Amino acid sequence: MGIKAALARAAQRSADVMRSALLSAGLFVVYFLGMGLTRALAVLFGGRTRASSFREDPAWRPAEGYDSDEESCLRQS
Amino acid sequence: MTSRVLGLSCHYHDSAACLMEAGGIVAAAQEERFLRRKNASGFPLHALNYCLQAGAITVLDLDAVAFYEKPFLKLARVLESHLDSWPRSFGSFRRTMAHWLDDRLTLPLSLKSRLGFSGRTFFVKHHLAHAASAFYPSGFEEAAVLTVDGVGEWATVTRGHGAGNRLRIDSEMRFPSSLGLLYSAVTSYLGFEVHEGEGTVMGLAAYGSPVFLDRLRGIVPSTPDGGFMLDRGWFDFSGDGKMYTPRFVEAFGPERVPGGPLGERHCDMAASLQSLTEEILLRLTQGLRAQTKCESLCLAGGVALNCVANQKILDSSGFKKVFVQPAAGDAGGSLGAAAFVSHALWGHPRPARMSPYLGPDCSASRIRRVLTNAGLDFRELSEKELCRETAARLARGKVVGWMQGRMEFGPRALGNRSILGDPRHPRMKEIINERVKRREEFRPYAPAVLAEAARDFFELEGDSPFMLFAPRIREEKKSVLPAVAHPDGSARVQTVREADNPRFHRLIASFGELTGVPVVVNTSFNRRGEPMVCAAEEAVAVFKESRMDCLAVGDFFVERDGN
Ligand SMILES: [Fe+2]
Repeated sequence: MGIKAALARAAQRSADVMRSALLSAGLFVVYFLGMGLTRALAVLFGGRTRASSFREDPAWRPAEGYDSDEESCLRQS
Repeated sequence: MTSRVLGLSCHYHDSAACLMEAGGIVAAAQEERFLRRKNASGFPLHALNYCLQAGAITVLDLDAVAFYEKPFLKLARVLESHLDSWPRSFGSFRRTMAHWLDDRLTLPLSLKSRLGFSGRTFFVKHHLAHAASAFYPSGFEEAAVLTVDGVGEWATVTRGHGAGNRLRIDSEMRFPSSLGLLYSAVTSYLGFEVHEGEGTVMGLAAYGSPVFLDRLRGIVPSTPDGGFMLDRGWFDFSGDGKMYTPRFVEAFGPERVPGGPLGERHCDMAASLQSLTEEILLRLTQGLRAQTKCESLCLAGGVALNCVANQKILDSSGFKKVFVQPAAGDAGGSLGAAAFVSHALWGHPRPARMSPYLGPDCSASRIRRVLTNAGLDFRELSEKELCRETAARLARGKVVGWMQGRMEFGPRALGNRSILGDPRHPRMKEIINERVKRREEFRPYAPAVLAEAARDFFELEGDSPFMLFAPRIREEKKSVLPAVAHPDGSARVQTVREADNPRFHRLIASFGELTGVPVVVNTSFNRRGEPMVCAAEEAVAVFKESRMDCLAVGDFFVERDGN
């Protein structure tokens, strides 16, 4: 029983390590390739991220997306 | 007819749950109180289980769950912020995305797997949830609504209007122009913890002069209608690293190491930040008053916990009445999301007045068992005797732990999970600090006063039931209340009405009969670094491990040997 439990724990630990490594690798690719490319395109074509455009414009904006019907409140975006 | 909705706020900080039924608030609590870890941010399983228990229902009886933000919109902002600071932000991106993939994008699935709930889940925008949390329980038929926090999905400030069951957001400011993030950035620069130390900085401000105000104005340019922006050369909110840049440190001097000595420069920085915050909030509220012509204002969002600024708004914005909900920060988003669904979507009637006592109670049998198991001698008293005995000890300079009824929702102890003392005692702040709280010595303690006597002691129009205003102590009363007077002459007052909390009211009245001063020192019942006590076990543990003199828990009265 003791050995079985220890084996199960070890298996769980290695699964966690594997999962974390895969996640890191996946996020690395997304960040440096996916976001890097997006960033490069933005620079090339003079586009701006929303974060930087908001930073440069302090003005009030009309509120959007605050609809008060059930259907819009069921959406996550 | 749809009637029961469970509001949830979580995954950022201070997670909480709130149950509403047919428009009434049944229960609300923060997860930190159950987990015993301050600002716990995970899925609020304990808090929601408590709410279901308080409503005597199961998950199957819920008609809907309401969440306090729209996760996909928030994720878009997080991704774009990381994109904006690419390639510096990889470390933060990796950590943040791991959390998002883990639980933040899958709330309906979590609800199904953890609770077995497969009904409808509503997602109420973050600032709409803040606005709803302030307007619906305010008791105002019509009001202007202002929300100000760190950031929700994109919004950081919103202006809106409520009338009856209708609530509308008209305009917003967006990330990274954020008053909440500015306050947090300077809080961390001053060596205090973000989300925890902002109140400390507000207290520190009274010890300094706003000598850096002009320079701060220069890096936070603003417009007469309250609009402002943060110069990106000075602040960095793109990841989870420092919120201020090396340029900020060059201009204002080295940052304070947490726990390091506090000097005049730190106090001056705190004072400058507080002044700027008040300036911007005043412009925002004066603009809103002119725009809406409303007489009443509802305020919410983490910045609305700044009671010194709230007082300035009450005094100078032009609004006659200002309502700030007791859990104005993100914990209150659970209430706001539920309230929006209940009132705006389902049309249930609004509550006439909000009680902050929405948390768990503790039965007499359990208290008796806890005290017995702890080996404490105790007496069971009638309410009248309990109040008299407690008042007599307070008048003799004793420190009393006072745990009664249902726990408060929100960060302030409002007379149900409180440590009490005599406000006339010039050393009471030091005594409470030495014996229990061990807070920074510059932080003030708050007075709780009978509502009917509040004007005799404080320059306050109206009520301050949730300790969210800081009026000046009347000149002639300053010498009477040395333990609660801050250096700027203000005090963070709680006004106590009999209808809201009869037992606490009776205790203060008893103290008033004995001393002629119907005011007590009221601070939260906890040890440094811990959340407020929730159950009797925690109250007894604090009593035993501290040097508190007495403990009044339910109808039971305990005195330390030698009192
Ligand atoms: Fe918020």
